[in-house]
Amino acid sequence: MSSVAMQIFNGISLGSVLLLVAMGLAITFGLMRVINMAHGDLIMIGAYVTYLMQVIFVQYIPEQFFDWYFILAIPAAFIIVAGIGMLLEFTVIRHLYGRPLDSLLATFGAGLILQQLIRTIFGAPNVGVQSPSFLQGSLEIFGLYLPFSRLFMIGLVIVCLGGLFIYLYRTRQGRRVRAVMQNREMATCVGISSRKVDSLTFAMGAGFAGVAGCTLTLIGPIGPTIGLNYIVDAFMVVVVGGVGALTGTVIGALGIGVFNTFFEYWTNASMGKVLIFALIIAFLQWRPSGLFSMKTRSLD
Amino acid sequence: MLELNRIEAGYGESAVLRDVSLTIPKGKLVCLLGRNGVGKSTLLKTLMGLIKVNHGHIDYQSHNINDKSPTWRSRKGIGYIPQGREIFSTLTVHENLQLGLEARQDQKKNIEPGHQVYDYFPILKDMQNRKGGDLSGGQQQQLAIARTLVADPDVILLDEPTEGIQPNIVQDIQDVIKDLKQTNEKTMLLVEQSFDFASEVADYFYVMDRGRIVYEGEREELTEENMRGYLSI
Repeated sequence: MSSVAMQIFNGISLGSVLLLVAMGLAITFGLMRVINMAHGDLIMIGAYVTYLMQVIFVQYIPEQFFDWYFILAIPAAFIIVAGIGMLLEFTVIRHLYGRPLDSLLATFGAGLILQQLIRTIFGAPNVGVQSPSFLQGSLEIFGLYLPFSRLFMIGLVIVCLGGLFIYLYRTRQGRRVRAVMQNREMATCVGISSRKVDSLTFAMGAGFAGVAGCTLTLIGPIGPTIGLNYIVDAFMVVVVGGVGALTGTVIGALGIGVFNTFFEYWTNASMGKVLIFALIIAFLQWRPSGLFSMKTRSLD
Repeated sequence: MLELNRIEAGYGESAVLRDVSLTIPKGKLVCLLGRNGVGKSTLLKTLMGLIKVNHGHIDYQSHNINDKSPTWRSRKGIGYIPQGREIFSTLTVHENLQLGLEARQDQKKNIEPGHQVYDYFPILKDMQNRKGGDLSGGQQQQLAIARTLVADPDVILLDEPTEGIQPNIVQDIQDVIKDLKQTNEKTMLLVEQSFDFASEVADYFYVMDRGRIVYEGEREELTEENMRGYLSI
């Protein structure tokens, strides 16, 4: 019984990692339809921002404040990676809207540039980030040991999701975003600057990639190619959830997380992966446009 | 106020509009008539900046606006109500209306409950929290008109507002257009299929055929006899 409960927790925990990783992509690929292959590398940059923050704290800040580095790293990763995203959008992507194949290649190239940049600055070997002390250890309830770091990730993903929903559904800028993503021509005809919306939305998606990178430092060491491990997962979650549907992304991430954990529990790690991919392929045969597809009565 | 001078425009290489000149004087309602597929909607899209001009120039308040974006044009007071409504179907009625405020220069954030659009279309108030896509075609058309009126535009471009809409709503929409003309003295360009309605409201009219203006005149000249060759009456 308790082992099943533990697997459910692990599944949710894995789902929350997947969701964090995919959330930025749900914006850049899901809403904006840019096949953003640099997403993984934006995640990687977020992880290195965290590492850099740790280095700065070790060198310049008194030791008793060390734990604060992680708290500060989250907004720092968001802002810095959002800035890089904005630059990427301005220099490359804005010329490639509506050209998915070209944007795929161009963003892949941009990702390689980012990887090399990091390799030049920090070196090729992996670097370790020490978890802050308040995230070490675990919480014991009903005989289950739930690591604080995992609980923290689940909490963080809830905060990020809440923030994103409030932004999209409760603010003026969010309304503009939804209008542009739905009907670009008409949005410009009511006076919205689609240029500004594209730029800010892409930056926002990149920012969430940064936050995801920040939390990946809690899982293990980080290296310049860490993004590659997550890019497939991220696309998988967005496609299963339904391109353009944020609710789908949430359910997709949790679903994949829980199924993956159970498959691995029943078989082994590699067999589990095989089973989850088989399940996804079967699912997409049944529903090619994902869990939630956008269909409305716009013209009848 | 808004003037097209010998415009040639179209999609890519193929020109849909050929040598079109048309003037919309301030405070007047100009009707654009013609059969399906002769370029009326293309003309409106060109005026709005959705289609690039190949030759000729568009003047708005005596300035050339050929290179201005649709965003710029709408913010400077050109309101566009496209054919097929093009409301934002996953946004609520209220959100759709609030998007109409984007074009305003005065940073107004909310539509006051007693706004004129709610007098024109009371249904929009009752349905404010419904999704735009759940509305019927006629209600969507009302929403599209209201969304443009909220911006308080100087010129309104209306593309076949009563096409394919249930008859009881057609009457409402025609009443609103008449009221906009009489009480608010709005400048309007109305693309219309209904000859009767056009002859009732137009100050001036143009007839298009195969991408060209083939006939124009004052309302008095807008008679069935003169139109027989150009329209399917």
